[in-house]
Amino acid sequence: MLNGKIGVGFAGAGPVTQAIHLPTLARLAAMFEVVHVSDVVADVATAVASRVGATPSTSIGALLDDPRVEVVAVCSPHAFHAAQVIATCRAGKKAVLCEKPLAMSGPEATEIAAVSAETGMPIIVGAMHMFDPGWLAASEHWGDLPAASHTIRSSVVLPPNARFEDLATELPARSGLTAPDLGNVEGRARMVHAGVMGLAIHDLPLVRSLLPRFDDLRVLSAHVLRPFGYQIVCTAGGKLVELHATMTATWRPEWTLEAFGDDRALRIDFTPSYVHAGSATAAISTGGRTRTFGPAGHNGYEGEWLRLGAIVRGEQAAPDLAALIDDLTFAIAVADEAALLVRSAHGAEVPA
Amino acid sequence: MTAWLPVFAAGDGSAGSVTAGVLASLPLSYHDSDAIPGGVAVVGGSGGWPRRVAAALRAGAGGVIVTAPKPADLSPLRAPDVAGGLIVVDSAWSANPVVAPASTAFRSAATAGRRLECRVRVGVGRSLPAVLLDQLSLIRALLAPAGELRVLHRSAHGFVGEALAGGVAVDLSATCTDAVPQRADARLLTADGGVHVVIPDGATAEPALLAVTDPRGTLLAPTIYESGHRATWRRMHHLLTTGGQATDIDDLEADIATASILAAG
Repeated sequence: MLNGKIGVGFAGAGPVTQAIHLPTLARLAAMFEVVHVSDVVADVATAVASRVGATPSTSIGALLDDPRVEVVAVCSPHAFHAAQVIATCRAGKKAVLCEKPLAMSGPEATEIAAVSAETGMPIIVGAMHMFDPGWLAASEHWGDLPAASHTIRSSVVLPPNARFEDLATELPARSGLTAPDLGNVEGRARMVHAGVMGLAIHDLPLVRSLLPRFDDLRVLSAHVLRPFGYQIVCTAGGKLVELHATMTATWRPEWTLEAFGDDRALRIDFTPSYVHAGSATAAISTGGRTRTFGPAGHNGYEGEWLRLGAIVRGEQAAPDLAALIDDLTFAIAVADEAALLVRSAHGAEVPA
Repeated sequence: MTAWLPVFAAGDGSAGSVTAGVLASLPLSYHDSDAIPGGVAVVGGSGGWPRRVAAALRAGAGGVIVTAPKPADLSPLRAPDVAGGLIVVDSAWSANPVVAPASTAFRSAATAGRRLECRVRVGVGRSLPAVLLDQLSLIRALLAPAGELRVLHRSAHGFVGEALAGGVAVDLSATCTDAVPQRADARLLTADGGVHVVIPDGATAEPALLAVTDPRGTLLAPTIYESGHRATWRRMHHLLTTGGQATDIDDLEADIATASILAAG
């Protein structure tokens, strides 16, 4: 460690690094120091690195060769995550935080698991809600909800990322995103798939923690919501799961996760992405009473870095990698099946 | 001077306790009576309710309120001597006084490509066909009659389905739980906001909440501390004293036909 701080290197210096992780690490400046920022675009690497006094580079190799880098944050485009996590494992670093998704396919996930097991590298996936104090409090106090719940619903209503990016940081430029062509089936299928792997994936690990199994996943309905979003209904582990998300110009974000059993219910209201607006608020209702937890002073972004720090210091164990792989497998399954359904435009009534 | 109408409880008495409470709050509009003629009969919506309604009309009731009607064959109400009688349905959600202003907001926001979400939470063990019927009544009142209903999944814990109402896609669901209060929740998101109404179950005068969001902010409609039950009795009084007509039975019959898909499952 450098002056008692954990040295952090970033692979990828785009909006997620700039708007989420750098402001988060600034709040944890006593624990972490950003020492290296790598991006394929040299100007971006230099500009972002200069903000924090870090070394810039344009290759993952240079990043991993930097002895000051103890923890690597993989914040590159999704397609590069698996390879960069594996490279970090083999480079002998102390831990890696990989932005979701951990990988884009089952074989990639399997390879990560093997290399992590071989090297003992702790991996955290940046599904920030898993580290949100509101979620953690709920999971500590929910009793038999995982076994007793029969209906799970996730709903995300957000404005486009730019709004909260601009409130979390100042981006010098944005890359122009090509709007998907929703006029054809393939465009709609790709949007649903991207929606699951980019947005639903924040909460699919939470959903999966409430399921006894997911190998019986069946997607019953999948629709594109314009301009961006999805409405997906599925069953897994004997439970009904609804996934809803839409990104509009609304000023009023809502991000909720609900789980219902016959005599117990959970509702979590999350704060928006990017901004540091505190933790979620969780409400557990049973027997005519409701217990409320939160909001705490920090959100899941801080939560995941606090956990990473504790792992590096040997104070806490790393998340179970098998669970992370299952989270990814579940997300890929939902994404693939939902996209398939959109392509086939087929749905059928399913009796109990 | 307000017309003071007699009220007669007909049939199985299942409407009794709620009705008594409501009528106690309308003392200038109604009074108890042992005789029907010209007054209002109240019939509980349990099995066989159409026959009890028909009997009340034949006995001379000026109007009949049916509370929480379950899906049923309405042919007894089409008999020539009772057809056209004034029948008002006290439905779980659509009778709430928020529905009138809410429908204006929902219909204004319902353009092509948008979706109406209609979710109800009801107690464990409720009859799902009856729950669906109540939900269809709400969708009709807020937006338009629902058709092309597809039930995606059903179990003892509820159901989820899709429909079309006025050309707008509808995502509807019912979740059975005793953990939280029963309520109906309808939301229609727009390009820059949306309309959201939450309707309590009417066991108390807890007000429904109607919120309309646009770039200027969220406008919360005035809260009305009146249950759908009381609003129904006021509606009946108005119809009886003005000679108005109601389409409740025609609407109910259409919704029963739509809801039959769940009964058949």
